[in-house]
Amino acid sequence: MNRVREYRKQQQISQMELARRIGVARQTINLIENDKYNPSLELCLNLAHALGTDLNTLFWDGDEAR
Amino acid sequence: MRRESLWLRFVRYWYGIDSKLDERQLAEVERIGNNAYVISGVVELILLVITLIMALTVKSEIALWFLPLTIAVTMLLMSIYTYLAMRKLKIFSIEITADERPKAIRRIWIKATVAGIIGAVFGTLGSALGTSSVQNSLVNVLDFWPQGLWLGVCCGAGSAMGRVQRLKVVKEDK
Repeated sequence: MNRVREYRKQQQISQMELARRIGVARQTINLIENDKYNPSLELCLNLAHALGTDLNTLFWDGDEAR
Repeated sequence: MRRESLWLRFVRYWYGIDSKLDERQLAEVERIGNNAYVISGVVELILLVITLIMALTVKSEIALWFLPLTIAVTMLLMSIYTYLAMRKLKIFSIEITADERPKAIRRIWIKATVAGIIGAVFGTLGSALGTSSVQNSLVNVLDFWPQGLWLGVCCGAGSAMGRVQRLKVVKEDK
């Protein structure tokens, strides 16, 4: 489970706003948040950058990886 | 987002998609396109074999009509499939927030007007050229403005209705 929704809500931005910032469709953000789509590395980096965090924090689930 | 290639722009235009495609949408469009290509390829191959059998056993005139007709039907069915598959994935939807609605409606009006003007020009010229070739004489292009106006209104209304139908107001979820 990624933390895109958590960080987005922390930043108080809507899915639409985030989608526009990184140039993707709102549905893509929705699918990423619900773990129904695995984004490319480029998109992950863009997301992390837009949410002011890094890849590890946003996508790395330590417990699941172990 | 990467710069869109001319080919991709053409593909979008072909399918009637307004906004740029992101990586997920592009993958979906490619998947749908591949499905349609493979299915139509196999169906057309089967039709070709049927046509050959028909040409050898029944009348060859029937076979001559059978192949183009069935190919046209296959293409129509594939168009319906791609449209429905893309609509299901909401690739055609134009998503806006509630406060963006007036601006979006204004943009739809502008696009409909442009579509109407293009339709009117083509309608007038097409009617004039058609009549000229049938009568085998020169005609005054401006005499055909009613036909042009009719086509222009149809194109404009079609463009506006299609876009309004695809417009989707999304609730802010902060």
